[in-house]
Amino acid sequence: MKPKRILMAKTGLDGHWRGPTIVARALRDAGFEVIMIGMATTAEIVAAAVDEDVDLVGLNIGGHIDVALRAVDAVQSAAPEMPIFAGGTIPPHACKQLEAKGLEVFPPGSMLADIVDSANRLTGLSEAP
Amino acid sequence: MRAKGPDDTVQACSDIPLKPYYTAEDIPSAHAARANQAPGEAPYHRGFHPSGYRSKPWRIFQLSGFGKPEDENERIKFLLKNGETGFIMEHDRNTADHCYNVDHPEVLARREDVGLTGAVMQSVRDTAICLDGLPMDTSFGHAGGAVVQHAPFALAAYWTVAKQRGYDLERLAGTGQSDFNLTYLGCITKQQIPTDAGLRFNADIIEFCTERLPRWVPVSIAGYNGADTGLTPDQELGSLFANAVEYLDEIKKRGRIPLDVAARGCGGVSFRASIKIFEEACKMRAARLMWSDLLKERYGITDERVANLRIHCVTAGSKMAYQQPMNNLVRGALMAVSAVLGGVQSLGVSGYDEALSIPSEHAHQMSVRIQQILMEETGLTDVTDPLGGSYYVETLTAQLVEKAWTFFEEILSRGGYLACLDSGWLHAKAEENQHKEFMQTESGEANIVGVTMAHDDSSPFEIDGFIGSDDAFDVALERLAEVKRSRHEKGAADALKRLEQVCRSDDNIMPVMMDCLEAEATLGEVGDVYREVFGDWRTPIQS
Amino acid sequence: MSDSAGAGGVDDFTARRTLAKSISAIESGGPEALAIEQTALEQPGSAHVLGITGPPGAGKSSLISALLPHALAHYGSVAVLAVDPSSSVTGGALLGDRVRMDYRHFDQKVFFRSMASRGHQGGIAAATRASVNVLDAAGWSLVIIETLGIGQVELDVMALADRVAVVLNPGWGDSFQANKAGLTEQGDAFVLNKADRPGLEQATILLEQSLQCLPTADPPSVFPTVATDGEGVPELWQALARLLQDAPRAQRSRRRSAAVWEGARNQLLQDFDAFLASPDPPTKADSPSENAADLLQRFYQRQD
Repeated sequence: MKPKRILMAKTGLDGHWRGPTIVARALRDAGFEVIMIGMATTAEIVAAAVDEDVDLVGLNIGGHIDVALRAVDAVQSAAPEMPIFAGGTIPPHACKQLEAKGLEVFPPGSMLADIVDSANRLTGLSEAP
Repeated sequence: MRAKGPDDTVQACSDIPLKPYYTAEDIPSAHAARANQAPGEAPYHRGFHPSGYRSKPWRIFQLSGFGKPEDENERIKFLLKNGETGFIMEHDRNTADHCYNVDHPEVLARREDVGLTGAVMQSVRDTAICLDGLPMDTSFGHAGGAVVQHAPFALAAYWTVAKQRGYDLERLAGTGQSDFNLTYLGCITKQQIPTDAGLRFNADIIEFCTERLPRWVPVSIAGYNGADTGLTPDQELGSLFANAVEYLDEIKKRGRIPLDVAARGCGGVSFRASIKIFEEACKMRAARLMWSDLLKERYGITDERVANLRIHCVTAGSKMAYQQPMNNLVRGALMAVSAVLGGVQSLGVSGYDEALSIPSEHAHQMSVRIQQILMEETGLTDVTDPLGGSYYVETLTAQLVEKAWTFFEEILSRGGYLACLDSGWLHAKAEENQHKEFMQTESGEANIVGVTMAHDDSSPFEIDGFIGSDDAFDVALERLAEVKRSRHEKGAADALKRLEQVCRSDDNIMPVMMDCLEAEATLGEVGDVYREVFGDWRTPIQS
Repeated sequence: MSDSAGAGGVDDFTARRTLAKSISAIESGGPEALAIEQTALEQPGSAHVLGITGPPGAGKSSLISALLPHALAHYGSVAVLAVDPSSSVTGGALLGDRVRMDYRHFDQKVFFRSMASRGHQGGIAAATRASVNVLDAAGWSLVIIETLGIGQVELDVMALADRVAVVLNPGWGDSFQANKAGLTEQGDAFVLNKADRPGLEQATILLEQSLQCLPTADPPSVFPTVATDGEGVPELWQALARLLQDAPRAQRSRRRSAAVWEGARNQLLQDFDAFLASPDPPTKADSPSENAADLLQRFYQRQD
């Protein structure tokens, strides 16, 4: 079975790396190929998602929701079939906006097991429960 | 939350097994003799002043700021009115940490983020707006500049405003931070000067303050930023002193100022106060003891005034939960208790909305109220070092000291603190601990109330994240254009040119930085000089 | 693939997606992968291929990032294939080379692909060669391969690249001694990156001494660089550009032959597997003494 590929990007310029690193490690340990891109602009995220032909895009969101929404829109327009999930310090109102765009959202306190489950589901490795 | 060891023993965060109870026999003999010293006596783990908080309460010192400089000014005034006894200027991370102006492509791509975590201050005019009407002469001010490459600019901006208002720099009290743990370990920026250039900046600041601002705390090593990235309390201590050694050795090598004066300057530090009350209180006690021993043994400094380690403490932001945020009021209060029991000089309590956003006005007010309740109502301030002599506390203090020195020695054996940042060794340590902590929570070994247990799906106390002002970017862009239009252009260009020359030499960067600020050079222009001269630090982490 | 062939393909978004998906198909392996590569080999191609190898932490990615603007100015388009190790236990991988890239140079003319080794030995992934051939056919003028960098000799990249640069650092004398026999033979150019660190002079002397021992009249040169601030990078690029220009043009046909061989080998294995699984059991239960030679003989007879 070919491993699934996940792009992990940070939309903001805030360099807290703890959360994304722990998540990336959990995803790698679950058998995913995790492509780290770090802090990236919308254009950089889209270019990376396309070149790397990933099965899933993971966005770490730490700033204003509009910046993240712009990245979501751009990925969805460039590669409509590519699923996206998001994590980070995302207040409730912003979670709702992301969910409305079809994203699965993992605010602080989310369990790694749930994030890995979501990655399995979104990349077609497992069925929705 | 009780972390268990392999054979069901109970462990402290610092990987020290805890007994069910302690007796006099448990206190390591080497420490037992010293443990009986009174507060005010070396090795000072019990504090420097016998009268403790009776004679000098801790400073209520809250991180604050967002939006435009006037938004931040308003919030600081609100906090001072509510009882804060110092003030901290928080700068916008997008611009400040990277030394970018708002028209930099990286910032333009994220314009809505601008002002979300602090005010945008691109020139001395912005700093003047932020400081409008604030008691710079009577209050202890924190000028910002937490990130190393930003510190010279932020400090010079603050001092330039002070000069413009006619204050004597010789009498000005305050601090910046210029913290390596934040810059290179905890919150790594997209672009940053390399660590050796950072060390040079900090040594320059220490020398400049020694000569011109004797009451200023020039740099403040923040164990907090190591701890909240994953370092355990013993590692937080060990790495903090390994960092201090890096500064002092550099000052000694340069030989331009007396080492004991520099050591006094390095002795204003910050720690994280986390949720394990006794271990955290022991950490503050251990820190004072270690500093006094380090100065004596490594540098032959015994002057009591120099050995006086002043500790600012911030409660652990990462312990604040997203779920059921009102629970965080309790966590904030208890973490503050651990700091107060540890005898700290200054304290900030994280907002109950920490996991959602920067603090709302109400969250900020509650952080002040928590401190006021502890100070005024609880009797915590009645007796100095109330934990002193407890079998458990003295044992754990001694064990922490021992483990911290081991970590300190390991860092030094790996080429020192800077080398361990460059190689990523410290990052790997922090990540390993974080991973372990996550796994304990995932497996149910450790609980977080409201997160892994005691769920409450429809809490009536739910809150949303605070969003500051929505015009920070637009106003900053206008003001940037206005500064460039109305300043004396040749003066600014000359100052920047001299800055570049100084950066390429061994001269102290601060005098020319003062000139740059007076000439109204902007943050991004200063950053461009750094990028040209120093290049970029190669981050050892992958995300 | 033919849609994206030619220089025009480099700029087109759809072509990029097609290209990226072709590489994914190659990574998945099997007959489809070979078919894609076969089609690519029918296109004219003239890409130069540069290998960058060296131990972990030597600064290979940072160096590629620093070389990019020079390479773009010279070649017009650059594709990078960056290989990182897969975990042998979980099959997962952390691919972090992009973090070191300076995206100011990432306009439409840079294609960057992270590749997990997926158990392949020799410093590259099983899919790397076919990906190079596909990129060549799609009109990318320079392909840079960044090898795994596990610190051992990574010979596979030599078979793929027109030229190989080996990246080392000052002050790693001991491991250098241990590796020198293999490493010195691998490179067409040697880079001492992080040249601002102590030990540059000694490392240069040691390295040059080892290179002098090579059985060639014209041993490779040593270039000091500081990738993070660009020091020495223009000089390095000049030398690499010249080396690539003068490289023997046999490599492309070698890459093509390798593809043909792999296709043939895979077909052979497939046929053999089918033979073993055929209803007429090739190995009779009552003749355990049958040896491999007999088995093969009967297999080849069957194929005729």
